[in-house]
Amino acid sequence: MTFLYLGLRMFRRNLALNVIVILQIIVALLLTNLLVGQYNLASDTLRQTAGFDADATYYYMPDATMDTTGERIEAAAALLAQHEGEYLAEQAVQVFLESTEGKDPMTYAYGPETIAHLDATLGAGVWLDEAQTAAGRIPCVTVGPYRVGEVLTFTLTDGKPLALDENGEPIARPGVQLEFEVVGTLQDTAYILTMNGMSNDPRLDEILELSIYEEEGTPILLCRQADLAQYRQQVDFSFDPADNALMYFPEGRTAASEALVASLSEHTWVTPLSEARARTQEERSKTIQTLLPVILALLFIGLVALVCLTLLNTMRSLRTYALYYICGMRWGDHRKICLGYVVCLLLGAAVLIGPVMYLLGEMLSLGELIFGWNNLAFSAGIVALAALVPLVGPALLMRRETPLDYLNESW
Amino acid sequence: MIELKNVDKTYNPGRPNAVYALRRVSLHIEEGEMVGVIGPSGAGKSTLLHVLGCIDRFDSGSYLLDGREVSQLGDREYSRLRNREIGIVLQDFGLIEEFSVLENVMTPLFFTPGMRGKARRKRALETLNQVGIGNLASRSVTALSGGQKQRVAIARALVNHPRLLLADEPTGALDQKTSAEIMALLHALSEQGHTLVVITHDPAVAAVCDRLYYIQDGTLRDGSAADMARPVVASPAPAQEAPPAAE
Repeated sequence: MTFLYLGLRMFRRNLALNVIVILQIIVALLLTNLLVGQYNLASDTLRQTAGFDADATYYYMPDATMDTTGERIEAAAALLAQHEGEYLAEQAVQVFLESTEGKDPMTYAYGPETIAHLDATLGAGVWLDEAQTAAGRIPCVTVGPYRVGEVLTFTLTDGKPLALDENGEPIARPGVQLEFEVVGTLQDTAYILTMNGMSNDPRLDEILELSIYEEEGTPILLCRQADLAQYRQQVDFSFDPADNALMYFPEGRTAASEALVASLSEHTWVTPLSEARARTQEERSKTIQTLLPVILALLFIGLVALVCLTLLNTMRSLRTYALYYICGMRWGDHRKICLGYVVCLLLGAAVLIGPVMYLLGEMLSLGELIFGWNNLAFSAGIVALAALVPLVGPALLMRRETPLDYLNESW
Repeated sequence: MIELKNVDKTYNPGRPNAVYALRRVSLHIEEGEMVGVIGPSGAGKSTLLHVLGCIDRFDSGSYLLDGREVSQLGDREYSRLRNREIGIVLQDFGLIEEFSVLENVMTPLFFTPGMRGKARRKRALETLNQVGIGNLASRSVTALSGGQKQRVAIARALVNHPRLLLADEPTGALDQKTSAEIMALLHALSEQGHTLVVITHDPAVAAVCDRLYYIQDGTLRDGSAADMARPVVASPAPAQEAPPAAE
């Protein structure tokens, strides 16, 4: 503590310059975390889809044809109907659940292939393929305020706009009350497979959609289509088989599957998942290539400033060190004072980084990033560099100096 | 208390610019004595003070402090001696300008193991009261007069209750009246049982010492008031040999 206090006194000597260095450290930390957070975003989509056979899985999306007549979509549907049994096409079916209290969740029901291959980013609990619940309860994985084991009651409806009676009063939708049991929760900022991509060359982050519960406040509920199938007779939530979907070929990539994909491509947009993955990887690399030089330059400037400032402070403090020496300090302990000084800088950065992040949070879209262990590792690396590199200069300087050189000024 | 035997100290040994700062110096100081060291500039007074204050090491000979051979002690023990057993007062006061009076006096206590914040403050305040400037504790040292600064320096030297107090020209930067006050304070400390070694050019300071040593060209001998009449600058040849910034 003594050396930290003496380091603080050294820190107070050049307060204005030290604050500038603190800001540099903060900027370097922020930008690095921004880059790593961006990298994590792309990596999350790649990781979630790693279990799919990327070469034999295709994503198709009739909406992207922008065909207002619907003819081409119908042709696609006819083609798919003609080849039924040769492939599996699964959608992220959006179903409508109404809550008696709180917000209605955004709900997606997945097919078995999707559930089997998707590696969702679980925060707690288990994924849908391992779910076991009491009879009558539908297992679900959620994003939102729910906890594993919680039982939720919602009304399944067709989601159509409310009809009005002759008096203009809304007529209640037909619905079935269902009990869901939360078997797993995703992280608050997570990619959800929604298959809502709208471009003809989608990246994975268009097939999966980023959900930020803290910002949006809408809970998300994921469940199995099979668990809802029995209610289809009561509530119409059927979907168009030619709508956005992932197409799987159980036999893998064959001549027949390629022929079907080629035929389907004449009527709709078809993208092999491998291409979407490649685009995502390319985008990730591009982000790194763009931001990394800026971050390295800032880090370098920050470190040079820190080294110079520590050296300057040490040179200005040599007489003080000599006085500490006659008071009982060991000459080599100047390193501890320097370290105390650097710790003060880092503590200053730690104290300021919260408010700075809060102020810049919106501007830098920090909420839209995924922070992981690598953020911690890189931040720790920068902090370690900022703590250790500035000690080298004073250590080299002090090797040539003795306390007598500075006491002799008066003696 | 202090016994030096045949102590040698050479700067840049083995080189053409070697300076023989102490040559077979021997002295004996009893506990509670107030001893003055006089001699011309560049004669080796500062080097002697460095050695006595465990600030610098010597090349050969023996230095017994309370019966312990100092030359055999390591760095840690040397610092402990400077911290606990020896208090040093500098001619230019050697105060840290960005510290308050109290913090300056507390400085040795920063390096005393087991001495915590409140205890430090209490001890430093007691010592400031002892030297008569307890009311200045919170003041900046830059706002003090020369006499007050020297009292702060003395308080800092005393704060860890050292048995040996070394003072280098304690009145060198003070006017006559203030010098008399500081010497009265040092004399009072001697009477309280502190052992004092004072380096001085001032006959008034020398006059209150129990004994005097005279040093010239690194050689020490018993001194007397008559030595005060000698030139304060060393003779040309040895002066060139002395360490450049020794005094």
